[in-house]
Amino acid sequence: MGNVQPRWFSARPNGAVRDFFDLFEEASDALSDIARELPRTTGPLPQSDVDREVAESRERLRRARAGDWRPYEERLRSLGATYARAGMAFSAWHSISYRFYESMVTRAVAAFAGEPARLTQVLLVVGEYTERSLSIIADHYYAAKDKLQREAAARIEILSTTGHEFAAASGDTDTQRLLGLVARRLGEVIGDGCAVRLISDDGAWLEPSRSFYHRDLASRDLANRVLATERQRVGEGLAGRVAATGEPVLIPRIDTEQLLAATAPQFGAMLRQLGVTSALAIPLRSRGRTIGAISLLRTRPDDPYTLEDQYLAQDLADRAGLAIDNAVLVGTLEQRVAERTAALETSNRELEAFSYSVSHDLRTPLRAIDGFSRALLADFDHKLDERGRHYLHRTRSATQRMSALIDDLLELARITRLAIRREPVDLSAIANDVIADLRRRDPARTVWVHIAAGLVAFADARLVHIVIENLLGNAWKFTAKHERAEIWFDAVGPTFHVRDTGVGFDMTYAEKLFSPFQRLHAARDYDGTGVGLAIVHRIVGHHGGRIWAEAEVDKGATFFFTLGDPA
Amino acid sequence: MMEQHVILLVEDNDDDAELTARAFAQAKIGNPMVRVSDGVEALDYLFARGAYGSRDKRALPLMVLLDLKLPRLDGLDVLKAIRANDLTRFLPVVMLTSSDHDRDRLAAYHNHVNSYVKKPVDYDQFVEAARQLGLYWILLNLAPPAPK
Repeated sequence: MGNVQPRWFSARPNGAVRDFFDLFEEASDALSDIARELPRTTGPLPQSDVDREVAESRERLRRARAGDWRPYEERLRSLGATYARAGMAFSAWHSISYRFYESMVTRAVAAFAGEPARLTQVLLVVGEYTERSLSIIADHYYAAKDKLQREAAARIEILSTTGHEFAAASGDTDTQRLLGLVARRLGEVIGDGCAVRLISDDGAWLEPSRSFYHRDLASRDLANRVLATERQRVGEGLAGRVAATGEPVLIPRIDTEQLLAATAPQFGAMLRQLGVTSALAIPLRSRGRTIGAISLLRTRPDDPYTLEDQYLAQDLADRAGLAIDNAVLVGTLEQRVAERTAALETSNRELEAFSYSVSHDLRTPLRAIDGFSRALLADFDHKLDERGRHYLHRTRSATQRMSALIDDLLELARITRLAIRREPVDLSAIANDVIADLRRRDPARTVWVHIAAGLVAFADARLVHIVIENLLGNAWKFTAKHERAEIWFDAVGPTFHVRDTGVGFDMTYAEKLFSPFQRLHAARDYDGTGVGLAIVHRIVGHHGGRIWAEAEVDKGATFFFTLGDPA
Repeated sequence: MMEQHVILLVEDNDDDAELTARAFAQAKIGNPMVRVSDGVEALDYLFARGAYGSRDKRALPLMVLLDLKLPRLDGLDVLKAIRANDLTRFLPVVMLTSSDHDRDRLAAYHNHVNSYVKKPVDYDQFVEAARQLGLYWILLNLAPPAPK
């Protein structure tokens, strides 16, 4: 390595080497001009103080002349690595070396024009020097380049996996958990401690957070105890300043006293205990806004943060920012949905209370009207004439009708609130039961009924029963005045239908069919409250299905429905 | 013949009270009917308190017809108080109400109601309900043995 004295020149006469050094020293001023030109010819390079470098160069030359090439080699190695990191192409070194070689040749020719043998020896030394220098630079240039590429690949790998991880977690509405994940990954990748905090809605504070990560559990607990309760004013302290400006702050070396002076007082004791040696604060950004700040701190004095760390941290923070922003948004939405749901539940409860009192309070006076009408008929029959009795009967049938209306309205309200419980339902069996019941209640009618066998659906049995009861009941009712009453219940694919040969209706009014209290026939001709189809409509809608009808006046009607059967 | 047991009717609505009395009379149930208008008064009657302080509280009604929605103390609370007291623990209580709400029915049965009858709007049906109630609770049902 460096302390082994390299044989820089292969068996060159000492005189030639001395001549070379003499020429080199003379050329130093000219070489400094080349150095001054470098930034222009090679693109962006690390800033350097050219005058100081020339002075250092003379010192290295002096030691090389004394046989100690180590400073020179060290310099060449570091140049190779530095220029590789700066992104300079290796071909630039060729042109620099060539210009050096050219200027040395010119000087040698001028100095030893009359001594061809001496000139030859010096030129051989210059050539050998140039090639050795270039090969040392090349070794370290490519080694550094290789290391950079491996680092870049590793960084891309980290960015990719961590980015995917953050993106996957952005559905998590537990924002604190997501902040914890981000802090953990940054703490693992960049080290050592990391906290992620969000700016409050009013923009004035960095909110408390339990996100702090440090591989040392005791440090983690210590910091989280403080961070979970203490907020930090935006604009104050390191993270606060970053939150205010949106610009990262890197402090490679910091002693605790400096850090205490730079941070908000509530965190002083904690930072002192953690033993912070290097600090980095990164803005957390999303959609062009700064939404928070990431505080990174190292607790190893020999390993300060570098610009590389800052860039990597910023890249990770940008990935995290979007995920966190999404999570906050989703969380806000979910909270809003929860609030709406709560409001809906409240209004549902109020509605329930309302329909409850409707059922109770509206029935009571009805009962009185009916009861006292009946009492009149019973006790004062002898004092009433035919018309008087007729009026009382009308009164009583009106109260019965209103009672039926109240019952149906309550049913309608009840069904709206019911949760669907799906199970396999035998619709054919239900239809047969319903028809049997209709026949029992109305034995005088002759109706031909055709119910297809094996009609099944995955639906709520009680609710489907109400649907079939209503549709078949209507078919039964509206065929009453027709000579040949016939009813079909069948299905085509997932669409069930009830068809009849009854009075039908004018399709112009088909829209009104499913609204409550809409009747397409006079109550005088066909009884009913006009709520039945509205109930059916709600049940079908509740199942995610659809209902519609086709009809023609005096030619019958067909009602089609689906039940949103997921099977 | 022993003194005729009364039927206690707890009903705040005068119309309903009158019609109920009439329905029981029409159903030929001869037991006198005592009517109170709210839950507090019902308990006062049963436990011989307040305005009913002079009543012998051991003379229990034959049955209680209890409305659910009552001023002050509601029907459910009256039922709970009846079941919580040793004297009235086994007293037949029939909920007679306009509500057939699931929750009300469940709450009544949870508190050991004997029957739950929805007052029909149709008066004729009401008379029939009264007749069956009287028949069952007065003639058919055997009361628990009296404490020794």
